[in-house]
Amino acid sequence: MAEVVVETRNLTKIYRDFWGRRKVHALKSLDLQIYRGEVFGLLGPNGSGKTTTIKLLLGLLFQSDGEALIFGRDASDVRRNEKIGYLPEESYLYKFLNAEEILDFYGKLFKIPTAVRRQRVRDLIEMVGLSWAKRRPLKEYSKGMTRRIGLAQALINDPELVVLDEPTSGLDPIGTREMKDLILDLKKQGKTVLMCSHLLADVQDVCDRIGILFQGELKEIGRVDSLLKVRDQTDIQTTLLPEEAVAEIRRVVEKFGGEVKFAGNPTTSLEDLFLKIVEESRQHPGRRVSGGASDGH
Amino acid sequence: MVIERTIPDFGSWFPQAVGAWCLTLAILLCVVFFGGMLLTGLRLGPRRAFSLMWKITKQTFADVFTVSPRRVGALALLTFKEAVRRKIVIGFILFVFIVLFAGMFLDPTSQHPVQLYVNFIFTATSYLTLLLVLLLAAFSLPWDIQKKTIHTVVTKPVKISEIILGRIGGFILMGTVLLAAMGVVSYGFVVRSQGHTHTLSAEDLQTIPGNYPDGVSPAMEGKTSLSREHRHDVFVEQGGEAVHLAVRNDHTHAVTIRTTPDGKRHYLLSSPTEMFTARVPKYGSLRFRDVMGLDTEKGVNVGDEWQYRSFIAGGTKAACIWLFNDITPERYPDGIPLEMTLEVFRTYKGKIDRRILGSILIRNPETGLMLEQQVFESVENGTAKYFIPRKIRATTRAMVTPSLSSTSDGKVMQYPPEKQRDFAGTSKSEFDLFQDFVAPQSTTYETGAPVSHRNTLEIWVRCLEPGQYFGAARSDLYIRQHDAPFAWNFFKGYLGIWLQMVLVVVYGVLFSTFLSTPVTLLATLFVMLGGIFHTFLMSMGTGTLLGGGPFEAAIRVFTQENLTVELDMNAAEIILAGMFDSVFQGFIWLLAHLLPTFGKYDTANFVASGFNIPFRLVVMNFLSVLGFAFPVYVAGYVCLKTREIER
Repeated sequence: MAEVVVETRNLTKIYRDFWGRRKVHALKSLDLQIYRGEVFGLLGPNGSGKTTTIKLLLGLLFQSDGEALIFGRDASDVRRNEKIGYLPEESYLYKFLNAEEILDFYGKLFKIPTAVRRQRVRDLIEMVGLSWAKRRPLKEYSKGMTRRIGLAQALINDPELVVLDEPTSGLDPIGTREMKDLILDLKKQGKTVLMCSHLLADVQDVCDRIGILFQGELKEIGRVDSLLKVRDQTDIQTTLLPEEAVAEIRRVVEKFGGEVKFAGNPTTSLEDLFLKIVEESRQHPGRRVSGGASDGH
Repeated sequence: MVIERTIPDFGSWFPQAVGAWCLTLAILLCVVFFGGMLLTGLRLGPRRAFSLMWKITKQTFADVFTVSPRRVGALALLTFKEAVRRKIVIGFILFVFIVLFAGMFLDPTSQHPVQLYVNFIFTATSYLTLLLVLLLAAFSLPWDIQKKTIHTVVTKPVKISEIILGRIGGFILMGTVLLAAMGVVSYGFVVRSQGHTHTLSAEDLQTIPGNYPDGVSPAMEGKTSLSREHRHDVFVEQGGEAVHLAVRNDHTHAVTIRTTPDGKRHYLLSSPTEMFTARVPKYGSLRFRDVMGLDTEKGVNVGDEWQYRSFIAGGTKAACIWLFNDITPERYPDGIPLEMTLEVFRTYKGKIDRRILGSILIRNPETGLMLEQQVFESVENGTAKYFIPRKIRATTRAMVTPSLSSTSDGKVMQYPPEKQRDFAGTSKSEFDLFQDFVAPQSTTYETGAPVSHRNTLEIWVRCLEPGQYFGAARSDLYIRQHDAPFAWNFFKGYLGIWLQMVLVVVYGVLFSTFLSTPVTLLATLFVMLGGIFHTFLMSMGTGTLLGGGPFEAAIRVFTQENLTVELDMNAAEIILAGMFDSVFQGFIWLLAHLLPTFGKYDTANFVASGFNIPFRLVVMNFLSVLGFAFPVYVAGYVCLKTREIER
């Protein structure tokens, strides 16, 4: 059994007004366990309690009841934060600093030797592709650039647990893909990732397990592959076949009592198409890219 | 110009200050703990409330004392950078502009130019600095919370105490840099703006009529040239070798005489002397002698509302008596330099420009030997200098004067007693100050109990004209021991502004942990105002205010009784009013102890008046600020720790 990194027990959050009267029951008795090395996604529509859960775990909000533990410690024990990296929904960063200064500042908050900290600052700026803008103040950064430097600050301490709140928010498709690749890379490094998002495709692509929240209640939890498995259908993908072969396959399927619901060329995702065009444009500047479309326009 | 404030000895101040600090803190902690228990108990029940409060208390003790200098330094540097990049330097540019144009508005004919310039520059510096740090402190943390930038900090291994200290440290660093820059500009402005000299030629001098020996140049008088809207009266002694320049506008000039081969004299005047001083005074204790010849604590009240000075009647036995300790030849090898400021109260006008005559007498407190050392003309609205030389030639006959004090049963105690008096010294015509008038051991009975002194000397001042009065306070006569460097004193004056700045920062940061920016500004201003009215609050808190507490005052308003009249109430009503007012008094007492007396840290008056700021005052002020800053820092920690950062 893998080590439990994040655990909530009967975690409840009720927002109250000044007089202590109940306003919103944001989270209802959440029981959750996230294990070392997995990528866990919290899913749900807006206002379902995803961000509230993360903020309760990080101590930005106080629970009304229950417990929220990371590495077995509650939020009052800041020592646990040595092993946590957090990327908020908006990259809340000090805009009067530049990339180097801000990473150096966050680095100083950890017990990292100066030489290591400086090297890590250089590496992270390189990793997020902002070497060319490292001396520019953050207030001049685009949203995507700010997001990248936000990610870099979350990784400054080489954390064991990375908490990502809407990690692809504000990113273009390339940035989104890079973020997803990075999450998978973190998983390969054995790190635990807790992310919340309402972009289902993102969660599906990177998460091992997901929990679905709705109106503050946990409605479903489990492995992505088993939850998404359609058990009453069989999917076969082949290379391009002639019409005769397709007709033959239909006959075989019918012979076994089945029904072919679709036979034809599958469509790629818009994300894949976009990335393919951008990649070809980088390799052959000035040339128009067909992108595989053949509708004659 | 004298410093009216009496600075207590560190030894007597410290235990008293620590006691008041501990008591206030203990009361405050109890109020916070049980108040918190009550509030949380209503929501969570008593058991959970106690457990929560206990947890917070334990964690508070652990967190406020164990902070990482590295993290505090990083946060302080962040705060400093934030202030710099928010163009705080504009504050300094504004200050430079104020200084540049100040010369146009400051009165060049002022009789006390250094006082005027120093007061102006210190006021401008403190207002500007305090306003700037107040704005910074009030905006910074609420913005951090509002813009959620604090989220990326509190999710790092940073304690709330480190955030508070980092903020405080950053603002103090910012304020220190700002004050240092302002201080350099101010010092240059004050010193350079007063630099001037005059010219004096033989044509400016006129011979004073008289019989002079042949070949000796006669005594002359005249005036220097006009510079900075003033001239100095000049007196050249017979023989022409000694030139005296009168003091004008708190300064004079040294004169060098050069004689050309053809016998003409040229007078070269230096830049101002005695202008930028930091006198180190030695104060004595003051008592009075009344017209009957008995020693008393106070003199006569001449009806002055300002009761700072007590008066003595002229032409009587009345005198102001200063007792000085530690008068040794090692300290004053040539004699004792005195400076005196007296207030004159005239019961008849006479010739208003004629000064009132007085005399300075010296007395040995042990033997009672007393000699009139000199007769002087009073200097009104100014400070006069006198010198008691080591070797004194008597111009009047010395006498033996015992101290006379009346006991509680009406008897008069004399010291030395009649049988022990030694009159041998009275026949001398030459005296040695230390041998004849300084008592190696003496005892006084100032507070009823005997107090031993070593190497004491009494200096008596009498008014010689019947119907006129001299008024004096303890600080009005002092021995000018030596002068401290003016630049160092100027720096210590700036340290006073720095301490006020620290207080504004800590209170600003405290309020910004739980209030919005505008309310933080108001709350910090309230603290500053409360500090200004500290004396009034204290008299309310201790029940010494005339007219009673709010309840009694309300009764007086409705019954139209004035403040001094006994209220016409029955016993029950008096008890009820007293109870209500006692609760209010307790609250005001606590409040008065929580609000720092801002004016106490302002030492500009010392610099402006040319007095050295005693080092013990700097230390006491520093400790006092520390005494306020520490609980405020802890309170800031508790407020931010118990606040949901997200909301």
